Formats: sequence, C-alpha cells, structure tokens
Amino acid sequence: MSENEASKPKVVLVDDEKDFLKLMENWLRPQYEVFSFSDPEAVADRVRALVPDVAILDVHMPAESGFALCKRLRAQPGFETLPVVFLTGSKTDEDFVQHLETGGSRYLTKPISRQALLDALVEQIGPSRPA
Amino acid sequence: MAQSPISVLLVEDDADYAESVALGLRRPTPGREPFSIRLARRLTEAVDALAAGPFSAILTDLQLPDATGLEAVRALLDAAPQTPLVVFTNHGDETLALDAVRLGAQDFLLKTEAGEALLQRALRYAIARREADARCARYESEIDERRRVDELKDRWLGTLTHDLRNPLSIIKGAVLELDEGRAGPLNADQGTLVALARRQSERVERLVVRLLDLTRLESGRVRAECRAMDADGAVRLAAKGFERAAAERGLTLGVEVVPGSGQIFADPDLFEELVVNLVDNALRFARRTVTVRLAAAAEGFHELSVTDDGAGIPSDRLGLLFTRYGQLERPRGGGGYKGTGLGLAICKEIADLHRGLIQAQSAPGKGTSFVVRLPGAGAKTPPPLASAR
Ligand SMILES: Nc1ncnc2c1ncn2[C@@H]1O[C@H](COP(=O)(O)OP(=O)(O)OP(=O)(O)O)[C@@H](O)[C@H]1O
Ligand SMILES: [Mg+2]
Repeated sequence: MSENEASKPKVVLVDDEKDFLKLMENWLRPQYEVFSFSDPEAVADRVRALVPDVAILDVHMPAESGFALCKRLRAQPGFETLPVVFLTGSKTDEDFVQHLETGGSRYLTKPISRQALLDALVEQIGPSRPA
Repeated sequence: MAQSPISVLLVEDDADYAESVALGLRRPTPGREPFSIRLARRLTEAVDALAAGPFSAILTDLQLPDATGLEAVRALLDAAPQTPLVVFTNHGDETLALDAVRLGAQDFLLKTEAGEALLQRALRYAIARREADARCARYESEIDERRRVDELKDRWLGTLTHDLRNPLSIIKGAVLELDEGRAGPLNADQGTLVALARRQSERVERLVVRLLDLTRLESGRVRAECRAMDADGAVRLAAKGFERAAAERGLTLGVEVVPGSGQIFADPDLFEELVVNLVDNALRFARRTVTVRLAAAAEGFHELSVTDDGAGIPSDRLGLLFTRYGQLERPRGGGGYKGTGLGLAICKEIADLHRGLIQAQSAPGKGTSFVVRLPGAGAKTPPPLASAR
C-alpha cells in the first residue's frame, strides 16, 4: 500500500451484482480506497479490521438485505454512527428508508450515475483529497 | 328437407287441456321446425323424463298433483338448468308467475290466452333467448379471461422493462468510463467504436426509461402532485432548453401567452414532460416555425397548444396517435429519426391524470397543432372527469 493509498478515505462497497460492483470501483478508485463485497455474509467480520469511513450497501440482495446488514454493522462497538449510503432498486424503497433509523444516511435510486455516487460520498464524509 | 323437431316436455295433469295444447303445437307452421311433445302428468314423471334425455324446452303448469307454488319450477330448473322453461298460469296467479321468471323461467303464459300461435311463438322465443343468454355468458367469461391475460401482460411488461434497466445502466456506465477516457486513452478506431456503443446504449436506455414511465403512469400508481403553478414560466423555461436544437435546424420557436392564462393547477414535473414531448415532436416536423401558445379556455380551463407548419398527420393515423401502438402505423424512415413512439401516449396519460384533455388537429400539408386543456389555478380541486377512466 502506497503512502498515497493510505491517506484516502476507505469505502466498503456491498452489492450482489458483481459487474455493478466493478463499475462502482472504477468510479471511486481515483479518490477512495475501495473494499468490495458481493456477499454480505463476509462483511461484518471484515469491517472491524478495515475501519471504513463510509459503507455503500445495496438494499436488495438475496442473502441479506442492505437494511439488515446495516443493522448488524452498526451493532458493533465503534460503528454506531458509520455513514451508510443505500442503493435502492425501486422508488417505493425510499419511503421505507425514510422510516428507518438510519441516522444521517443517504439513499440513491438505481440506475445510479457516477456523479450521483460521488456527490453522495462527498455529502456523507466530505471531499476527499485528490489522489 | 325435414327439419329436426323441437322436443317439448309438457307437464300438465289436466288431460283435456294437455290434449288441446299438444294439438296446437303439433299443427305445422310452414318454414319452421315442427314440435314433438312428450306429456308428463306429474312432477316426478317429468323429472324422470328429463333424466332420461334432453328436451329443447319445458312447458309446465304450476299446480300439479305433486307440486304447488314454485316447487315445480325449482325442481325442473334443478333437473335441467340449461333447458328453457315456460310456465302456465291462471288469472290471479301473476305474482307467482313473475316469481317463477325471477327464479329462471323464460316466460309465462295465461292458460286462457294460450292459443296455438302464441304457444308456438312463446316456445320458439324461449329457446332463442336461452341460447342468446348462454352465448352472452360465454362471451362474458371470455372477456374476463382476456382482461386477466391483458393485465398479466401489462405486469409482465413492467417487470421486464424494470429488469432491463439495471443491466443496461451498467453497460452504459462501463461504456461511459471508456468513452470519457477514465480507463485510459483510446486510439481512433477504439474511440469510434466506443462512441457508437455509447450512442446505442443511450438509445435503448431512452426506450426503457420511457416505457417504464408510461407503464407507471398507466398503472395508476402515480398521483399528480397538482398545485397552482405558473405555466407561463414553465413553458418559457422548456422553450429555452430547445433554443439550440431549433437554431441548428434553422427553425423559429415562439412562445405566445394570452395575458391572464398563465396560472394552472398541475404537477410541475409532469407539465414539463408534456411540454417537452410536444415541442420535441413539433421541432422534428416543422418546416419553419413552431409556436407554443397559452390561452384561457371555457370553464376555468387553460389551453396549451403546440403548432408546427410541417407535413401534418393523415387523418387515418390520428386514431392510434395517443397509444403506444401509434408507431406501428408510422411509415419507416421519416427523416431518419427513430423515436420510441411513446411520447404522445405519455402525454395522454399526463393529461388524463390532470383530468384534462389532449387533441391533435392536423391535415396533410397544413401542419399540426396539439392542444392540451388543463384546469386553471382557480380550481382548488380538479373538476370531475369528462370521460371516466
Ligand atoms: N407534430 C407532429 N407532426 C407530424 N407527426 C407527428 C407530430 N408529432 C407526432 N407525430 C407522429 O406521431 C408519432 C408518435 O409520436 P410520439 O411522440 O409518441 O413518438 P416519437 O416522437 O416517435 O418517439 P419519442 O417521443 O420517444 O421521441 C411520431 O413518430 C410521428 O410520426
Ligand atoms: Mg415524441
């Protein structure tokens, strides 16, 4: 890991759609250190070691919903206020999210553009220093 | 050629009366099927006869040795629900006769009036009516079934479009990364290919987005968030967005507002979509000018019209214009533009959601004018629907 890499904010990215994961990695990599997971199962264990600055979670995943995963992540000591950006597939999820206790988190409706994702991250954790 | 006879089960305990009825029915009518009669003197005998074989019709007295009131009607309808039933009544029994009809008998005849011609006619009508009823029931269930399939198809189309959208946006996103050079420089050939892929994926995306839009509007799940808004400003803003496109094609795009007609009661986003769709179309067909006009209309409504001086629309194509099928009738080529053909269907849904009205006025060679009527801001709630939806 280069000096530069270490200074970038860390993003945990969870989506069961592997191609979309790759695309988002491409969008984020210039400014963030990205850790991608296509299986929500592994995330909670790894997160403690990674200490991310923000998590991006797909809502609809077959193994576990993004909401459930968010709850599990925030249940861990030190992660109670971890900023989370939800990626939702449908407009109706939006209402659902609004009723959820997600403290300061954000949702984006698919299809998601590069700019929308970057803007959401800036909004959550502030601008990252250019690489 | 001998016609196959109409078999009648006559249920009557009065032998003389039965004989006279049988005589009357047996007398041949030229050009009509003859009647054949089977007599039953009791209800039980009639039920047995029905069990043994079908009849074309049943003619029954209400008062029988083993039945009174509506008992005979009930038992006969039970034994042969599909067979038309006509009942005899006496003077003073009309209420009972009406009850029999309510239960499912086709008709009733007063014994004293049941002459030969009336009898024959009543039976033939009863049979024809029963057949028509059966046909109706068949059509009704067919319509129900088709409606159900139609609904399923709509839902399927919705899911399908939805499922297309995500993979498509990933493809487009990936191509964009390449096209905008974020994945490294491309040589000239690669650049051409990537630009081509980008254009085409954007085209498919537009189709998918418009289809989703239309299915959402059609589903009734979208509510127009209507409020008093400034149509004047919204129209001018939309026109501004088309300034370049108009200039590139050497067209004049004008906005005319009749004073006092700018305030409407509408959903701003949907209104904008409406204006954009109509102006986009008009600019594609206009020869020199497109005019967007706002004016007051009757009963507190306001009228938006978008007029061009293009080739016009042949009258035989106006019918499907506001449906998603309008494009099926479109001659291929038309300036090389390949739209989705959904724009006007979306406009129609938007107009309907506002309890408004959209119309095309056109004649070949005379240009086209699309007119939309929307409730004015004075209307706190939308006025009642002109046509039920
Ligand atoms: N102003 C007009 N003059 C002549 N023909 C028109 C005009 N507006 C629409 N049409 C005809 O009606 C058709 C349907 O229009 P509609 O807006 O529904 O779809 P489209 O414009 O083909 O596709 P899209 O709206 O997705 O770009 C058009 O293809 C065109 O043939
Ligand atoms: Mg159009």
